[in-house]
Amino acid sequence: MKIKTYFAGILVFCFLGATAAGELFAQQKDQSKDDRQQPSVKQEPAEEETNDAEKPAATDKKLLAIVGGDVHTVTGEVIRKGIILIEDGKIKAVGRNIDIPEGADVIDAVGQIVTPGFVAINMSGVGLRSAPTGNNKLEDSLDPFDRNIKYSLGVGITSGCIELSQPRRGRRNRSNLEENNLNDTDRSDIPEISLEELTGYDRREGEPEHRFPGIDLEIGDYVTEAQLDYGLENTSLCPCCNLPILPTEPITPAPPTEEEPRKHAAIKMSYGHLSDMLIKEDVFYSPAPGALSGALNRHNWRRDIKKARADLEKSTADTARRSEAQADSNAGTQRTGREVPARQRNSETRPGGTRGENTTLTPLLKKEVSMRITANTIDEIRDMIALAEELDYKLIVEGGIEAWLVASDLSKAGVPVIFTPRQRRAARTGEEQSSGSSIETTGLFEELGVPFAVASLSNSVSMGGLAGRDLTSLPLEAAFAVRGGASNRTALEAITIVPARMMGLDDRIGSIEVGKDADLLILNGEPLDYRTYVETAIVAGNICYERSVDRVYPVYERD
Amino acid sequence: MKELFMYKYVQRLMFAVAILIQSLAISAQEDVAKHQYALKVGKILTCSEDESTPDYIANGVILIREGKIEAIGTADQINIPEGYQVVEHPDGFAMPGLIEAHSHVGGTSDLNEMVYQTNPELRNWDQVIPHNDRLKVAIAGGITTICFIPGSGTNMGGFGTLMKTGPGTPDEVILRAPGVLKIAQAGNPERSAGETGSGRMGMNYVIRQQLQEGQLYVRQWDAYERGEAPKPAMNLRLEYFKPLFRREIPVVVHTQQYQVIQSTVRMLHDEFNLKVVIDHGTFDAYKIGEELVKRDIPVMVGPRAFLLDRELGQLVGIVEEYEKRGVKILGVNTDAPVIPQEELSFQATMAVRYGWSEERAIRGVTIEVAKALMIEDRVGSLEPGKDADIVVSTGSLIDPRNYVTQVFIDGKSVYDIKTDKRLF
Amino acid sequence: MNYRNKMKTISPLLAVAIISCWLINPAIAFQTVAYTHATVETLTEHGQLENATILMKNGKIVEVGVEVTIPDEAKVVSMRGKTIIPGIIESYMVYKRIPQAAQETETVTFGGRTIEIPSTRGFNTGTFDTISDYFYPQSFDFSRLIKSGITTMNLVSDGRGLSVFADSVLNPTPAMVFENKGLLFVKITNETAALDIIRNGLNPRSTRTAPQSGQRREGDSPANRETSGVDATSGEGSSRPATADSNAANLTQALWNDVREGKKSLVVNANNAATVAHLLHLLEKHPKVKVILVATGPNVYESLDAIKGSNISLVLQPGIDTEPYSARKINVAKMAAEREIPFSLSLAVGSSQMAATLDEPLFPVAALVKTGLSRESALTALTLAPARMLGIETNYGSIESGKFANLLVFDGDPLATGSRLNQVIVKGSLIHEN
Repeated sequence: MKIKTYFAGILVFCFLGATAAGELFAQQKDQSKDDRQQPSVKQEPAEEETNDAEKPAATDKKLLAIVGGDVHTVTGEVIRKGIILIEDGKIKAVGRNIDIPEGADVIDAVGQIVTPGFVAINMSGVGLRSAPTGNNKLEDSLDPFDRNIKYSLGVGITSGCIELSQPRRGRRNRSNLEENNLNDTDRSDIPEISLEELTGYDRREGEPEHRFPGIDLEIGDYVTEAQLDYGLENTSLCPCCNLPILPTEPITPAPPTEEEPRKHAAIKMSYGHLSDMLIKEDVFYSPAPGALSGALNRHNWRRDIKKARADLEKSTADTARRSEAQADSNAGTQRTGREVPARQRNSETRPGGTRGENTTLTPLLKKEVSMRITANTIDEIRDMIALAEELDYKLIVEGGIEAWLVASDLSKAGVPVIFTPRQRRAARTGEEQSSGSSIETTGLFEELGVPFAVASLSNSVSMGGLAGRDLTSLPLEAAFAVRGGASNRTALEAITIVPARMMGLDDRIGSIEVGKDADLLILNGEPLDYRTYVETAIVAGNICYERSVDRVYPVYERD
Repeated sequence: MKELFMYKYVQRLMFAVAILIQSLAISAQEDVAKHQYALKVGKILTCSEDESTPDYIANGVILIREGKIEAIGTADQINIPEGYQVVEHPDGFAMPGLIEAHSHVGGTSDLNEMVYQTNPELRNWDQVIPHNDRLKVAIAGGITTICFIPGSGTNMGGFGTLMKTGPGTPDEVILRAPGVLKIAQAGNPERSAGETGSGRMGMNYVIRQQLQEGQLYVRQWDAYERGEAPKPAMNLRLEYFKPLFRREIPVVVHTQQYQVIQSTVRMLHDEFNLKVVIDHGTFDAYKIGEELVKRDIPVMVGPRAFLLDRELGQLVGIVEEYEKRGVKILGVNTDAPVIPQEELSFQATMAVRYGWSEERAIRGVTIEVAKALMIEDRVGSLEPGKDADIVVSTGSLIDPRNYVTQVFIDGKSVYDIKTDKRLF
Repeated sequence: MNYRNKMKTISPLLAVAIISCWLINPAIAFQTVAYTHATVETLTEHGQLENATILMKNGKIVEVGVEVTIPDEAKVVSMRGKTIIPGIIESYMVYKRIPQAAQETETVTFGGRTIEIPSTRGFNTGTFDTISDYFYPQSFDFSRLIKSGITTMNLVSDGRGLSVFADSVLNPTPAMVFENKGLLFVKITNETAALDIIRNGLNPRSTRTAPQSGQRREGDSPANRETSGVDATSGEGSSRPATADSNAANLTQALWNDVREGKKSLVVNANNAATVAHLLHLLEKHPKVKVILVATGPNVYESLDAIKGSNISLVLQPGIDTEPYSARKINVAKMAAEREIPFSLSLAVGSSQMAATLDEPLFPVAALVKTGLSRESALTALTLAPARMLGIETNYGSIESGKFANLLVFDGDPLATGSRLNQVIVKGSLIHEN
């Protein structure tokens, strides 16, 4: 009975939808085309106090409807032949029976699949030339016309967590090449400089990556290309062809020499729309890998945390005593993990000072952000879990090569993992059953309820020609999670809502729900199928990528 | 001296001895049954080019006997005889074992001797380590045969080996030795300035000179064998050129870029009439596709799979570009360990993502590779009489979501996730 | 039609033309002169006039038209077969480049060696260049500009400051400057220090209470504080003589006030596409501010839709551009014209380009016209558009009565291959003859 009515519903809907939508398409297809030619003008200036007099008069709200596709909401059920209504960059309505208002642009997605934009939990070198140095702010360094944004959108990545403080990773920072040539020269005082910086090489103006400036290398010189991608220290060369033997586990950076935490920021791949790009800075508290290993490090960490907590409690008490007006301004300075708009933040709250500085740790203590730290072995993972429980903060384990052996601990502690299914580490001799990586980790995670986000093998976009290993392999890496035993649904969550939750941005990105940002993909197949292409990527309500127009990826038609 | 032929004799002798022992020893009866399988699978992709065997079989049965495929067909067609161990994979997907055209993980990693610029005297079948750790994982990726070749540190790295990935003694796992000659052009073998071979002109001269020497040597021996000339002096350095110039084994050429492949074609195919396999063929090399088609030269693309075309400003799939130009024997390789050996099927996945067809992609890791390496009489498809190298998986391996459940090499089950830890 | 007629008559008249050239001498500036029988691109509502007469007196145009009564005292010069267009106005002429020595240096390791290079780390805000303060025209070679037909120019430096407007003259003297207080100009990149120059300038003092201590770097010149205006008066630069500082600060304050209120344009040179986006983002809150944006075609073409309808006008280099990351050709001037964005074409932005085309200065412009830019837009972009952008259109930019007689005489269609620039006339006097 139920099934019957269900089908009847679909039929009725199909009929209504088809006729209604058909008319609308005919009328509005041209209009929608025109509309997408107009980038950021319409973006409302979403920052600081705007002078009302100067503000342009409120235009009509920008409406966009995606009609007829199977909507994978991720957090809810799949809606067959659903409608998504977008108003001013936000999702206004999702469902089957939604009236499309007059004047809305309509995108026909019949026969296609609509998913939320993928969220890359680990990316670098996208959306900005290089991590801001010195006094440069991230928001001023962003490049909405970075070509890597298009490559990312082409595989469905619409937002992600960009790593800012690790100049050795990613192809944008090529300092490791010349470092290798350094002998024993003491270079502690000499700043590192990338080739780009040295030669003033402007990627946008010059031919991108065609020649490496300053050194006489072409793409035809096989040695350097992928080495530059992965870094010499992580790469051994193939004796045959001198190509680097690619790492099969995510590159773990060198042990920390300084205790500075790494920096991460959440950005959107809103090509051409600068005002939408920065979602949030300092989305994690990310100590350098190994920063909490060893007795001394851990002792210092406990001390720092306790001191910071005491300071926090004291200042909270102080705040309570103050007048209300003062309390307001104070709260402003203590709030890190700032969301845009945050143009005029006080420089004191800028993290990056010493670890003991209490304001840096405040968001961690208040559980506004999680600690994200690399932990691969059983011991490392257990230690991190124990520390987090003892000192009471939220933890995210990155790497987790041996996490399959402690999955129940992770599950019990509710610690999510940033995981690369294809990462491989051979077991130690004699411990074949209790060390090394396992391809079945993701299946175990799903079974035991450990939330995980999938990260790609390399976190930057590479044009070197080796396919399926760089940032643009993200959905395929999620496919490997399915290979490991996770369901398609969990694997899709691992590149959408789970990373969004990790960053504390699940109110904005990661699923198709009313009120969330309209970061959507229209796919020509199943989201994790290797044959699937992104037909259209919508970021914050704007069409930022169209396969047939952008021609980033080959437009081979399949039967 | 006659390595190749000796090997065949030894192999036949061993078979004969084995059969003799088996027929005599009653206690061995169980062993035989152990390696006589009837494999019942939901779907079989045979990759066969022979019309007698269909390309695709639903609810199929494969009979395996003495390391070979005895029969293949639907469950209705084939009666399973007595004494065959029945292995059932009702939801499984069987296909021929994958073949890697360019691998360096078959044994030790001392792949380059770089004293001379050309080294036809070198052979790598003494380096083979059967069933080593990397090969174990490779089996979990479905790879059953690899072309294990020396490196490209010099213009002629030496002779490589065709081998199975499964366990056994080196003699058991070696499919053919010498398997291929490795020649490297441009790029890696470039020497420092001031020597011949620091540029492409010099390197080509070095290769041609060495081949000419080898050609002369083989001609002398051919004349002697026809009784037309006195017996020449045996030259260890040139000995393995015999099967090469008799076109019994191919030369796999490390060559990429348009201009370099031009020289490959003119030098190795046109001038010396060798069986040539283009073994990287990356960057813009596909633009010479038509010339390769004219000469029936196979192309094994990898490890790079795409090119950023600066004219169009977009990415281009290299394999698909060859396909468009009509190259027939077309496959992918990993250059393992550049790409991990077990990800050979993923190289095909990426080729499909960049435009290739799935049907061609499955053939491009099986039968087309076998044809390129001239072992299609032994491996590459599921047909009666061929080696029983069979991969059973949860679905087409081109989809990375599917994984291998069981692998047979030479009729033996070498990997079974029911009993072994899943490695990939 | 016109063109064909011209071609028919051109050869017999060439001799006449050459002779007539001989007759002209610089003294005519103070005479009444009539150029007759010329094809005149007026750049006014009259458009192109055939067989027209230009009557000039004291360096100004008195009358233009087909039926002009020539006074008896006038010297008559036949311009039969010639085409006359207004002098080219160069909207962004880099008069002074920041000397390398002024930049910070840093030590880096490269290829195993330790070397000193000019600092690329961070934006160098430089000093505030008031061009009129050190205008020594003898030190600059104007002849190439003159040979290219540039009669009026906006002189700027490679950094930031206040420009001057100048006329081309035969022998450069400081007197060639006719506007000492030109426009505020600044060259920026998408770095905080650079964008702060504009932020500080555009935001009135009250909104930015505390200077960001993080922004101040060692070696920052006081000029930085001058421009930002805020800092200079906040008492932090106490080590400097207060009066000089505050005078300069008052000057820049006043200039920025004009910019904020839209009285004067701000010239911004943005060095990459991201910077253009950042600039547009900053300007969203300041719709009144008029900006003259100097950028290359590939850097600006993706922002054209955002620029459309705003208060931004463009300074483009003439020539066909290549789309970034591909070999596809784009005509950015045409794209700007389609969107009705005011733009000027700057012949001098790439000086090497100019040197290569001295005889046919408009060749790259002709290429734009060949590929779709309308002839009218192209000529406007060289003359009237820059005049409007600089705010000098009452005296410059077109051939109409009352304006200066800044004229270029071509021996054919100025946008045709093979047409040579014969004469450059500034305020009625001949300063270059080819």
